[in-house]
Amino acid sequence: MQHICSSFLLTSAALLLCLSTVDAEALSDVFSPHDITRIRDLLLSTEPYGELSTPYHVLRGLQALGTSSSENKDGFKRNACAYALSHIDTSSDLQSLFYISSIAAELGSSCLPDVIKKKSHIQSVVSDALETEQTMEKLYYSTSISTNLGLDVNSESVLASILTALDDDETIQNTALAFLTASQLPDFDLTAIYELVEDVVAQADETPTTLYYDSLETTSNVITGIFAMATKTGEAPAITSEQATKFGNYLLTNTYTVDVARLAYVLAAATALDRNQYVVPCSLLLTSSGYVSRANPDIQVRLATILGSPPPTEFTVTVMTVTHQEGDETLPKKKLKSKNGLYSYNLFQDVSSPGVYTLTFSTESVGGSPVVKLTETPLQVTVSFEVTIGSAELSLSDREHGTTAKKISLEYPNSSKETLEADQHSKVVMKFTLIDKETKKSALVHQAFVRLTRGQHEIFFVATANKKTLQYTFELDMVTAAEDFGSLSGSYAMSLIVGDFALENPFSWDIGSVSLLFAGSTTDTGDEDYTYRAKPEIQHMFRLEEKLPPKVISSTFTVLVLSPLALLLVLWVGIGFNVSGLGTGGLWAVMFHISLGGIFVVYYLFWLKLNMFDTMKLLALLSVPTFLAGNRMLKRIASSNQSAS
Amino acid sequence: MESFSRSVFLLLALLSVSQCKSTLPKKTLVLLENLYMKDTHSIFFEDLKSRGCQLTFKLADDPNLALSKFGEYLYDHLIIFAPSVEEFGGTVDVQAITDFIDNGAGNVLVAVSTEIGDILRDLGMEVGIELDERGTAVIDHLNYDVKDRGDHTLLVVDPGSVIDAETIVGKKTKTPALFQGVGMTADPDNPLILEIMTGTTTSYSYFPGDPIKEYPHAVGKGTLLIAGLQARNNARVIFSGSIDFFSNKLFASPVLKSVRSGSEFKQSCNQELAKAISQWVFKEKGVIRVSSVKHHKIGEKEPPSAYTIKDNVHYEIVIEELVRGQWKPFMLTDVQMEFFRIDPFVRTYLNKTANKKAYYADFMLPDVYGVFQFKVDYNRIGYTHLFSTTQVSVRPFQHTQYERFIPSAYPYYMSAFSMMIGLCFFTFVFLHYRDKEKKE
Repeated sequence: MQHICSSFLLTSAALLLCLSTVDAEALSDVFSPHDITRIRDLLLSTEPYGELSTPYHVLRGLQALGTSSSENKDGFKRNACAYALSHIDTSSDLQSLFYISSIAAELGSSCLPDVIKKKSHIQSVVSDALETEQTMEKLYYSTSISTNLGLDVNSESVLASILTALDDDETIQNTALAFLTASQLPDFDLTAIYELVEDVVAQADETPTTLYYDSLETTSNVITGIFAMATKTGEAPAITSEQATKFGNYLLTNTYTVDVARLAYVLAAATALDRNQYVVPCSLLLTSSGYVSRANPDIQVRLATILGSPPPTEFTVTVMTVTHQEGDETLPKKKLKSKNGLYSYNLFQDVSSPGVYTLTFSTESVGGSPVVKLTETPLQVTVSFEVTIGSAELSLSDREHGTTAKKISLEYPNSSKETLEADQHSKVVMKFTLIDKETKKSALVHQAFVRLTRGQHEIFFVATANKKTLQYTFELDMVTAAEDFGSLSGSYAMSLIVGDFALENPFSWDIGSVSLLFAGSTTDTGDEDYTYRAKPEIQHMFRLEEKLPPKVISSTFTVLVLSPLALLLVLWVGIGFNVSGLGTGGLWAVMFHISLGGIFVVYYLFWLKLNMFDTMKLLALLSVPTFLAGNRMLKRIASSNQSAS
Repeated sequence: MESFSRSVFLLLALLSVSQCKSTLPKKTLVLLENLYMKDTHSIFFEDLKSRGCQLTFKLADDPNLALSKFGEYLYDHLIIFAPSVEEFGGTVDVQAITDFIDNGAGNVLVAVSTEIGDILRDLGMEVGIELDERGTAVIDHLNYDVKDRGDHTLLVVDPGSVIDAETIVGKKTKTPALFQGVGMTADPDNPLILEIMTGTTTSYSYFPGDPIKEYPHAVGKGTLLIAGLQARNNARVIFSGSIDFFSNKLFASPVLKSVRSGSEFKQSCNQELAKAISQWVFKEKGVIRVSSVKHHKIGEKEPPSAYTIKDNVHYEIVIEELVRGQWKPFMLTDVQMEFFRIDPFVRTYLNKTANKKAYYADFMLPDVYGVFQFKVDYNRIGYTHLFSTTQVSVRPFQHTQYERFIPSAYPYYMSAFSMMIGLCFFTFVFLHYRDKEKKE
């Protein structure tokens, strides 16, 4: 079983190379029935039409897919015809008339007579257009219109015009149109044009598997043109089977386009490749699953042409080589039994061990056939197997001395109830073997990963296999692995993931949980990441009001501080006071006292609302009368005192 | 009258023309490995065209390639669908592309395959995405599609493995996507990387068919299938490990898991996902801006030269989102405003105004003075980074703004007043007192 997984990088690289060189002998794929249905549905559902080219392309595509008459299609035909007819009178250019005539020709008797009624209008447009300049495109349109409507074509003059037009401008697109135009000319020697085929094909762009021109339209016209010419002349075209296959591969890259025009081009060209008498590319397809096992040992293949149909004649298919991914090759050279076009092969006749095999096939036509003969077409088949866990044990050992402290034997598919607790001095070791269910031998697989998870965090370890004993070992050294875990201690869920390319039953086994304690361990910091989230709201904490003493105390003290003034007034009233000296100061005294009082009023206002500057101004104003009045008053008092004494 | 109405009509027509010009088609350079990729990926490209991208297709090794000319960038977006290219043609190289991202704020979509060339790996390194080597693929033995060709690399990606961000990946679906290509890992030191699509627990990236000798480049959910990045200048970059992800083929493919078969889906969600992702990377979605900010005291109209602590303030901001080339009000519930001085003093969610066009917050300024900022820093996955600051100064109370009649200070007030009154009385009595005897 070792050979499943030992190194074969070089071989596989070589195989890839070899695949890419011979890959062009068979088509990479074909249109599957699913594709055909999808495309037909898409074409039939294309309505309403925005422009004349749409029904033309739809009908062309449907024609290529072959007829499958249904109610839906009849209604569809009526609509297309009505649409085309409604545009005849307003169309005065060649292209529109080409579309209309092609639609009518495609729909046949249900539509064509109505268009032919307008023959004179069409003919006048055609002759007007050809009078000025005869480009390849015009020639193609006008010839097609004539053919579609069953009008006479002067082959000789058209051919001469084609050659002149090509001389003027020999692009690939023009040459392709020349093929398409010439192939419509009745009974004429077309060698001059037909010999351009080789040249045109040689000018195609190339990748290892495809051939193409700058646009799908050109590529399609070239292919349809070449095979239309071939059918017309009855001579095999100068195109090799490999080139035809590569063109086919290019067409297949467009299988999934949704554009009606592109689909029509793809289908027209594919039909040309599929239904011609000279070179029909084909593909060898697996019809069974690519996985075989002893219970289900047969593979089935079939031959198909590009549109998915079986080749018209009988073929024999031979298995040439069977190569294991590692490089072991057997050469069975067996002809395969065929039944209804399906060829089956029991792979177990020639191989026994599981793995991925590349089979090469060759085909041989029983009679003569235009279908391309294959010589070494590869297919990849996987011989699958099932595994189960043989023996598995989980142990905890000392990292320095290697002594085992604890051992738990595990039983697949149950998970263990016991939990290992590992610290920085220990190692967690798991050993297990994988057993092939059938042969009961040990097996190796591509993916044997041990996964440790904690929340969203997951850490993987690759279990390594011993090449001799085929036993898998997983070791978790608590010191060296600390970094992988970010030294985050805690309980981790442990599981084993087993998978392989040939494994029928890949699984993920929950083993249980282990508790890991790292040196210098951190626990979850709890710091949340707010990079892309709303942060928690912050309310500002206002400074608290200072706690004030109760009102009673302040009221008491208010009374106390007012009491001296009250006492003074009471006593003065009691003893009486003689202010008869007021007369001495006279008016000055009155003024002085008023302005002094005024100063105190200003102080009061300052406390209430004034700012300092206003206060200063008012004080300055008041100070002058206060000073003068005080001075005069004191002078008078002094002089009266002097005179009295 | 007729001529008047005609001229009005003309004027209107002119106006509408000039409006159209504001949504110029976005010039996009598409670098392809071969020209028929236009066909294999036509649905994706047609969709881009229909959304107003003007695509210029070039081969990746075209000798005349250039991203800029005379110091001006020629393109708005760049698509690189050329996995195996070893060297770009013309003047394009890793440096030119990173400059395009850094200086031109250009958006870049890169899709690779297992054929990946070194130059794209280097480009990945520049933006913080490490791509696995050529020849490797993401393998998942438990989640591959039935159409897989035996190497278990055509992965079925369940919606659970796709990032939860509607702007990037569109509305949630139940349909899985298909993926085939190389795996990536994100540089852990780069916080800007978005893990748009990841592998499952059982996936890993390695050479299919080569036994595992070294630890795989990416394992489990850490395996990135599609990674995104929004640079600090809001330029966007997408790296998809799979170019087939965008192909017509996978767009149209049905999905059915091989192992543990679940239900079959008629069509993968690749098309919707690719559309959504391209809408994001080419800035059709998730582009927001601040169009106006105003603030004033409640009950006033104009902002004062300085606020005073504990003022009640009204802050209003209009945030707009670019929707199909037009700026529309952007309304979500988790926009926050910070009143900020070195640290945020207040952080509050903004409310929507009644007409649903703006956000506002009414709040009381903190009792700390200094130079503050109203700051809206809205950074969400999938949206451009929205950052707006408005600086205001907050000063302390003037002396008149303090409380005037504090009960417990009454003794002080009263003693001062009693002093003043006392002085008035005393001077009066002292100056004009006459002894009685003198009269007699």
